[in-house]
Amino acid sequence: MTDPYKVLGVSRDATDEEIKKEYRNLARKYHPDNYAGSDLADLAGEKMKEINEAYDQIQKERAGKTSGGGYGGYQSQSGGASYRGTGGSAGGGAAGLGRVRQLINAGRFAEAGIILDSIAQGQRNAEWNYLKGCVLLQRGWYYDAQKYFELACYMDPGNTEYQAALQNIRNSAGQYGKTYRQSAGCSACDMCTGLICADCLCECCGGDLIRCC
Amino acid sequence: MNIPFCLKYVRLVLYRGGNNQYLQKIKTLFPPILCACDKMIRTRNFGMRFVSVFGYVRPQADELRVKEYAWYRAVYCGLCRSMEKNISPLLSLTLRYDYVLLAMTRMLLCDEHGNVEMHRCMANPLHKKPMLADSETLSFCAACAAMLAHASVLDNIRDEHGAVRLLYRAAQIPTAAMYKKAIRRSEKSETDTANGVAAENADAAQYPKTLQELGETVKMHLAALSELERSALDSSKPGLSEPENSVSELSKPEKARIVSPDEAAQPFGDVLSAIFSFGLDDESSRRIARHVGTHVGRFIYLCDAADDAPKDEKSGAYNPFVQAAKEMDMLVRDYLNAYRVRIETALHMECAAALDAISLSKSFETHPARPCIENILILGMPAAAKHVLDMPGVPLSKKDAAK
Repeated sequence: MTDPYKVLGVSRDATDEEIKKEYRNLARKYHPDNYAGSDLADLAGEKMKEINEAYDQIQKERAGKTSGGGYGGYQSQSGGASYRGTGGSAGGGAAGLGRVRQLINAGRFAEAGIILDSIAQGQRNAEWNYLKGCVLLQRGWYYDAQKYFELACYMDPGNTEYQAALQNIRNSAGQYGKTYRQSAGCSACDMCTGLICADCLCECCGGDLIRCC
Repeated sequence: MNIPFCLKYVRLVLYRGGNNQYLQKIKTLFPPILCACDKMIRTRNFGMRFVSVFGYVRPQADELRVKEYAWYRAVYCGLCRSMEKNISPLLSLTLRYDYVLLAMTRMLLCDEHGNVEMHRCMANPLHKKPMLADSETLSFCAACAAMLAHASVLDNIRDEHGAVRLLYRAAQIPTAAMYKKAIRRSEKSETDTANGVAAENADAAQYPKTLQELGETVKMHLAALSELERSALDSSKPGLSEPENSVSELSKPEKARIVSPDEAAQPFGDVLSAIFSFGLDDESSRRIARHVGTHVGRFIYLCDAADDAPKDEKSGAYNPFVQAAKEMDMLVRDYLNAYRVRIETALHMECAAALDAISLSKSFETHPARPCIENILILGMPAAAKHVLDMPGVPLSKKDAAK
């Protein structure tokens, strides 16, 4: 059995709060949804399981009394993850495209791509562009994916689904890099505790920092 | 003897010579020599096309902790030493930061931490420096460097003409020798471990098993790349290889097949994917390595394409962005500005995908390479992308100076 502290990447004398925070960070990072449609999804599931186990174990070791399992929100579901952002709610469009949507939701991107390519140039509407973008996005062709999403938005400016897809990829790229070593920062909770502490110290010397307490 | 190699070596010794007073004197006495060296190396891209492609994958050293940066340097120096010891001192001149990422990724996937030793090196003979002890991973990276150098020289012989082609012919002699030596070395070590490797790789028949096979795979992907580029220039003559036809190719752009940047980047991604995942025993780490290689390779290709775009526009060589710009009837500089968000997003997504894949590796959390790899993927590569898009065509080191 590996050291659960190492799995979470925290030191043995870390506080419960730190461990929880690190656990949440990792859980967010390895959540199988992030790997949906990729052939790495099973590995992400494994990693998630490992993290959950490590967290459970630390919880058990710490409290002595078992504190009811891990942070329940993130459980790894293996397989059958639905493709993010392409919920098939917006039906309609050509009959062939409905089938493509099903294939994409089922994670069969290659087949979806073949069907899309077989549709004639003249019949390529906004939805076709959007679905083509989804297929390319899964393949990792991000430049082209954006091109098709943009085209879809251009052809059907009112459709929120297309805009959300484009925004999604832009946002995640824009956010990228902001997370570098963020855990070293100081949360709002830390600030409040610090203020209260400072207030107590001031009161000891007869002053007052926060009037109300 | 290859002149740019020599010049580069002179420059290396002069710059890395530490505080040796004689070297200092040479530096002050012969600035013209240094200038000439720099100019030769930077402007007239003598080096090899694919070797010089690398260089976008570097860390942001000022964001690393001191010990992390020291470890990174140790890998770099260890790699250089491995190249010198195992293959040839000449090869260490082709060392780029990108090979360090390759070495670190493979060390991470094999969960190999490596020992740091103190050694002298040729470029800095006066001080001992910490270096990673030579290992199988490092010697594999050295072999890869030899292979890529050889492949790129061959590629240039095919593409260039006149005096430049002759120069590459001259460069072919040492690179071919180095490549052969790398293969010979790998065969020797493979016979030692032949039984074990054969058993482990039985499930993966489709992956190259020996270095030679890997070389063939790489050549195949590179050939696919130049085929793609040629078909983009002129779809009617797919087998075209004579450079004098490049003018006539330009005169009939309407026949060209549109190759999107992503499509053009894929073969290069495949090259790195094959190299990154070569010979890894564990099935899951092989898969991770393939993903990392693909995305890093695609990133490098796209960056290089954007960087070379103004130059290629003038010379008429194939460049996906130039083609896309032409399609929109724009100058490529304007195109890069107009579609900057799209290109930058794509490049960031490549980095993010590579990071997503590598962070799935079993030993990711504990390995000393983790901070360096994170730094490269999260900060270094996006910064390189930003530089390239800010000032396409200006060498990276000069861009740093401008900053």
